[in-house]
Amino acid sequence: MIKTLSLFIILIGLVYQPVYSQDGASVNGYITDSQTGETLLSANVALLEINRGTSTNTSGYYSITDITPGTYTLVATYIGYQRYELEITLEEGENLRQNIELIPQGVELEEVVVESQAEREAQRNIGRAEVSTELIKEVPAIIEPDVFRSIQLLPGVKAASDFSSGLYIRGGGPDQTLILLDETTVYNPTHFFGFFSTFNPDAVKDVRLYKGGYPAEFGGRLGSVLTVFNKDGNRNETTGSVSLGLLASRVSVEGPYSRGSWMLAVRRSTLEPVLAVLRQSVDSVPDLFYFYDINGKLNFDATADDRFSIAFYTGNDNVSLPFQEDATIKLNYGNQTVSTKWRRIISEELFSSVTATGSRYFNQPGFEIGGTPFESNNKIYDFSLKGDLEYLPNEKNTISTGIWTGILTLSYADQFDDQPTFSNRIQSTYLSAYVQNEWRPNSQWIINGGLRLNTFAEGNFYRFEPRLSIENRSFSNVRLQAAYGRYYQYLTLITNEAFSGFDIWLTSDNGVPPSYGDQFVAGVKTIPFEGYGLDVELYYRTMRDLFEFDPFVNDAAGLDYSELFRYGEGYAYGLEVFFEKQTGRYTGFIGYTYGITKRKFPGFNDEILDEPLSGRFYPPKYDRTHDVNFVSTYKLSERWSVSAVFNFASGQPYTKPLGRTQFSGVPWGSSERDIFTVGKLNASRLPSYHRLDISFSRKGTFFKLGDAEWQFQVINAYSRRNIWFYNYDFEENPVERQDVQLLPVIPSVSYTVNF
Amino acid sequence: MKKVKTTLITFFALLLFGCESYNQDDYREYIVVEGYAVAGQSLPDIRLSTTAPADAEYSFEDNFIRNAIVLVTLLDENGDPEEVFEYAESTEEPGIYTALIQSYQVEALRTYKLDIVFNDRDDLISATTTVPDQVDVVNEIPESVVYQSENQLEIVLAEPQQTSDQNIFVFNTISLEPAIDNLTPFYLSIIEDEEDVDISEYVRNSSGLINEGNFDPLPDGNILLRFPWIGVAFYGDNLVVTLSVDENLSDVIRSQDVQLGGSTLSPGEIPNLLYNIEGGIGVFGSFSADTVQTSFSRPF
Repeated sequence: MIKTLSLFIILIGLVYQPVYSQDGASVNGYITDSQTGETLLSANVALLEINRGTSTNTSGYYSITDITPGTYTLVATYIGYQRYELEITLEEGENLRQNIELIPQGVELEEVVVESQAEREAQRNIGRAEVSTELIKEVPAIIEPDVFRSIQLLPGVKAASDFSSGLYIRGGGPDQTLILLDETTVYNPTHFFGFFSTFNPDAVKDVRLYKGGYPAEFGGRLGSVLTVFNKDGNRNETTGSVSLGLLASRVSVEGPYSRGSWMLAVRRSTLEPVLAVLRQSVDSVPDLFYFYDINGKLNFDATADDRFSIAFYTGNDNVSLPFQEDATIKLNYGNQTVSTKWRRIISEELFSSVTATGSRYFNQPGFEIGGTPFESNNKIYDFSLKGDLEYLPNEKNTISTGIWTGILTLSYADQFDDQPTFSNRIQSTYLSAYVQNEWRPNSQWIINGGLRLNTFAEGNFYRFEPRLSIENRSFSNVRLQAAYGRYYQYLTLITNEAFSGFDIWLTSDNGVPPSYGDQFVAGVKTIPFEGYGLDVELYYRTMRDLFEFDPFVNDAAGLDYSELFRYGEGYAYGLEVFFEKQTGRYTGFIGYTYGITKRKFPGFNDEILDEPLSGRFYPPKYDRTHDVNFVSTYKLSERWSVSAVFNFASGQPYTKPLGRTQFSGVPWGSSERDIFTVGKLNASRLPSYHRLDISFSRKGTFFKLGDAEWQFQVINAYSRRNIWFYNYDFEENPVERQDVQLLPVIPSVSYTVNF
Repeated sequence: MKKVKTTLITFFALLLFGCESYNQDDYREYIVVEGYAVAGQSLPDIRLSTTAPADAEYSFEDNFIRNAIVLVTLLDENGDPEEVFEYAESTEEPGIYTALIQSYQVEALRTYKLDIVFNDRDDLISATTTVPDQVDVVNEIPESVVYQSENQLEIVLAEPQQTSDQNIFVFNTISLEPAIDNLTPFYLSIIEDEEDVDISEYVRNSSGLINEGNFDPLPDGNILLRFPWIGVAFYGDNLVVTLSVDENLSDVIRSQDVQLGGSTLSPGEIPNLLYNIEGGIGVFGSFSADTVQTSFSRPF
């Protein structure tokens, strides 16, 4: 605790220390959208004549320092915006604050953009991908446009099934990806049984995914980091949109006020009328079924150097489903997050941000069968304080450092027949600190080294995580990249791939050490032709000391905490290829992944007569060796455009029963019990998966009050009946296999008005 | 650039052709053992058979094993043999082996070892079980209980000794008045959905495995268990059997539940059971039980 306070005192002290500029000049400022005033993250900015450039940080702020006095052309570019140029003259020691407003591009046909080498500091850092909000809304979506389903189109990211928006990235499960909304952790980012995510596309400004090899500023997960930033709000005028869909409807408004901007976006399911009609003639229709989410943000510009913001999210899913007479299943889960942020430009070389966050996740599934209730209650409270500094001492170095500390409370309780049967509460403080430096010794090399310290009080765990990435630009238009990192994870998720309504988080503790792994990544990123990009990445990751809820634990009552888990290891490796066309009437990309992932848990997947503590490596269900996504959008005219997504993937693994027998003397129950023997777990493969989705959109106006858009979609256009899994009916003799299929063809329509 | 391309092609080829093989096994026949020692009763019958391919029709009569030599040994506290009991194959039921001495009664808290060898196979089978402490219901059971009323059927067990980390119980109801009209609402709704109505599978209805940790110890060390309503399939007179099962029986049943689905495993991921048998599969388990009777009457 004393160390934490000391670190904070140092950090706060730095905020108020005057820093004297060097002899060189500097230029810095915010880059924003000229129409909405939204800051643009990772926008490119450069001084043409000296080929020095940078990109805006997550606050939309850029800084170029140590510039020899003179006259330069300041250029800024960002996908979807017109190029910005301004001639500037810098005197010795001058610190020029130059905010830049970029004008959105109209519909371009075959524009070729001339850019400097430095401008193409496109933020394709190793292992990283960005998803534009336009892509999220353009591509055909199952009923609702969805952030996660758009991310699933990227190489290295896989979907478990049509019903799941869960992210399985480079061989890791959903719990191996840290999900941040405005820098606050979100613990169950799904709605509607995991069908789609909690992120409202109307509220989202920036989505970036670190698929692997992520830098020292992040930690706490073995695999990946997904950061989502919501909009700040239109700083120029009050605008909004209304969207009506089959499953849910959305309303968003945003606008300026004298000292800043605000944004509010609401989404709610609209199924109740349909359910009311169905209930009259169909059994097992939910008595209660709704979900909603609300996103909001308020920005306050105190001074030219100080900006404050407060952002919040609240969402809830509530279902009550009578599935039989005198039998009901109930689900109630949701998230609330709040974050307040203070951004300060301390000097032209030093930028700071301090963020206080709060996150709450609750999950209360329950059954009542024949008068006997089964209830579970899982809660997470996570309150934290985070401080980051970005320091540019000279043109060759960018030093980042920060700390993140908080209190994490997890409670998990079961009740059977109204009696508490299992209860566990862990409250732990955690502290992470990192320092990293991006060193650019010359124009050909970028070396980013960092070290992160993670501590977790419960269990008294201290872990160091080194990170290193290297980039070489010796060849024109080619970036060679490599990265290494060690990662630790203190949390594990109990989840069912079928749906996420019962997700429960558990944590490390005495006797349950954190899992850890190493990642090695190598990549080549190139611009083969103007307006095109080609990325190739190889990765290899290890996973050790994995702890997962033991599937054979049928009753947690009376067990020690460490006995709830099984402990094992895993690994994953693969190759990703990403080829995209970014400009013109026709845009799109092809993503291909070759990926292998395996797990091993002693006592699981053994040879039957072997020593039971051995175990063999096996592929989890989401292991698809080959995965190809082809995404394209073509602007037919000013009004009409068409998008298509085609996905092909290798069949998922499954376990084939090989033999059977029967127990007839079990001393309770009535019938014989059928027992099956299997060989290797998940050693068989389902048929390949493929699906085509098509979307047509027509832009128009709504009674001259605003822009409107119709979107007509067909999901699974040729109704391929992909297999989700095989269900073996063990009551039949011989056993009968039934195909459980994924989605059939689904047409849908939505209407959106922007005012 | 050329070197980069060459390197990438080499890596790609290595990945494609160097991938690990993980092929499905062929069917393999296993010896199946089934036997349940009950405290206070004669030594258990042992059923011996083999597995059959999953895509073939299975019956015990087509797969029993004959000519096996079966022994059950009572072990002392050091694990050494104390008394050996010989078995012989039943002449009327092939594949079922019965203890020659029927007068011996299985003792609670004692360990028994099963050994099987064969005249026409090289396989050796062995397993051990430690019989749980005798279940003893010590409270007065009401003559009748109103279904799903506030007054749940309470069963008080004399403080049991533990043979493992905690005792594991099962409640089993045996209806003495099985009839469609007597089915409780939940079970009636299941039957209504079936094409061929068959109530026999609910005549003996169980709660499933329940850990001792679910229940509260009383000040005198006894255990108070509240009988869950879900265990009641029929109104009317019911026998309520409280069983305390050993680890072998618990392992095989809880892993069989996982095999049938409903755990955290992904759909299509089917594990083998936890057998605790050396040289084969099946169950050599034990339990103790006590039975009470009450009547579950319809709610008002």
